[in-house]
Amino acid sequence: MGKYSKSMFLKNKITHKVSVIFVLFSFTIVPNAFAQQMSEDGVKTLSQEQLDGFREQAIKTINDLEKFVQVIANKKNSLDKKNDAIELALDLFISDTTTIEISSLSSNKTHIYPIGGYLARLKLLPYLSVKITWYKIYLGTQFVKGPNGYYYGSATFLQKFEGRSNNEMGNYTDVTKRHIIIVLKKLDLLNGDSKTNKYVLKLGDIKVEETTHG
Amino acid sequence: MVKHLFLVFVAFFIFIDLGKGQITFGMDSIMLQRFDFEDKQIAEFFDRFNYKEPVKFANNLKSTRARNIIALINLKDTGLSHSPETLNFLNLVSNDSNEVHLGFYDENWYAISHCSFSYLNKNCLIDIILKPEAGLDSSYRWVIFDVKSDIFPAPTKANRNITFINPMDHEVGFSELSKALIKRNSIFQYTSDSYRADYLSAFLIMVKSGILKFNQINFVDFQFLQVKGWEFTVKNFNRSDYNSGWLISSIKKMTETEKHDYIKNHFMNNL
Repeated sequence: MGKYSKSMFLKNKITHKVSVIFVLFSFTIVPNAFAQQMSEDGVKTLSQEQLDGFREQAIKTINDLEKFVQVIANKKNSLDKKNDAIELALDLFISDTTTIEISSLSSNKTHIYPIGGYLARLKLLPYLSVKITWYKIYLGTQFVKGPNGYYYGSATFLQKFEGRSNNEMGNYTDVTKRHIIIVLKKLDLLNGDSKTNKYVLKLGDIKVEETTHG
Repeated sequence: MVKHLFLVFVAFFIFIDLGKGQITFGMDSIMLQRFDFEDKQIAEFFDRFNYKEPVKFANNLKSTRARNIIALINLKDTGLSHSPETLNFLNLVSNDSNEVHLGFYDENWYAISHCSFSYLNKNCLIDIILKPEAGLDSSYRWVIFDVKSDIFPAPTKANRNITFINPMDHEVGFSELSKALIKRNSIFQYTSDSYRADYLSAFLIMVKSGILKFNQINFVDFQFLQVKGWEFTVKNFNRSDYNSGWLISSIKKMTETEKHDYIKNHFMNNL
């Protein structure tokens, strides 16, 4: 946990909690549009080429997601527009049971929330604008096949959140390290008589490991 | 002695560079600098241990497998980093001819999830031991292997000649069974000599029935027993230091027989 002064923490207590939500979303790696081919029989470790492909997908997706987050968070946008963005953001996740774990600066206790609930709260935030700067991504080399046929890997991210407000909350900035499960879901694509297998990258549970003052 | 000094030498390079970062940059910059060096995931721990991912050392120190593995040790624990056992372990695993590699698909490694529960309106700690289990189709999943907690004490078999159900008690409808169940405290003493407590089943039933309410997972660490002749643990050191993340926190010599007994005694309640 980063080093905050107590007064700084009290001032940012509410804004921090809310900002974590923003940041978490920006970690999502989308990409129905970027399906990656993988071998059918038990991929255990991805090649460098495949990893590079997924990393590229991740970067593109994060950019897309940042746009969703900014739409959801911007006070100027209509409720309909925000709801559409939430729907698109939710589609990036493997299921509606996906959760986010959030650490609190006030205690060692962590909180786990469903992604849908957090997205819904995101639109109620009072920020005028949100800027998310993505610093680093580490994609683990292992993807392990689960009993459902999906492949599970993980990524670690470092990202800076900046929320701008013109009310008493003031501006808020933090840097957060978090881990996310990446799920490769197999799709059977039919092309005439032939069938090809492709894997689509979806997002799983998210854990925040460390948050410091940006 | 030479190797001992080498270990300290590497540690010096690791720590001195972070010191510079702390003076020059803010916290976010330190996180940024640390990100490449720290061991962020268990998958990364495997890759670095196997020298599949060479660590980028400070001050252009050349990466070798031995240095990679030194960087995976909690160097702030001088008892560990100065231990002859650590150096012997390092000699073994960093020598490529010994072909010591780690991987997710290995047998004999465990995750210990240190959890907080509420039991009878009081907070209690329970360690849930998990291990990867393979399916028939080469798929894997983590399974709950066992639980450890003070709420599951080892049953005492003392005073079995004092607390028992007398051999003719069936003639009176097992009146002493009623007494034993009401008294509760000595209930384990009424079981067969062959009885072994299965705390995992008890835990599962208590969770399912709601008697035991889950609060949170406090932290997770890992125990590796797959290196022949050795056992070591890996914990997450989340600190402002290049020597951080998933690091080896203890190393012990352990024969294969001792490992068998260890698993039986510590993870399986002598079942």
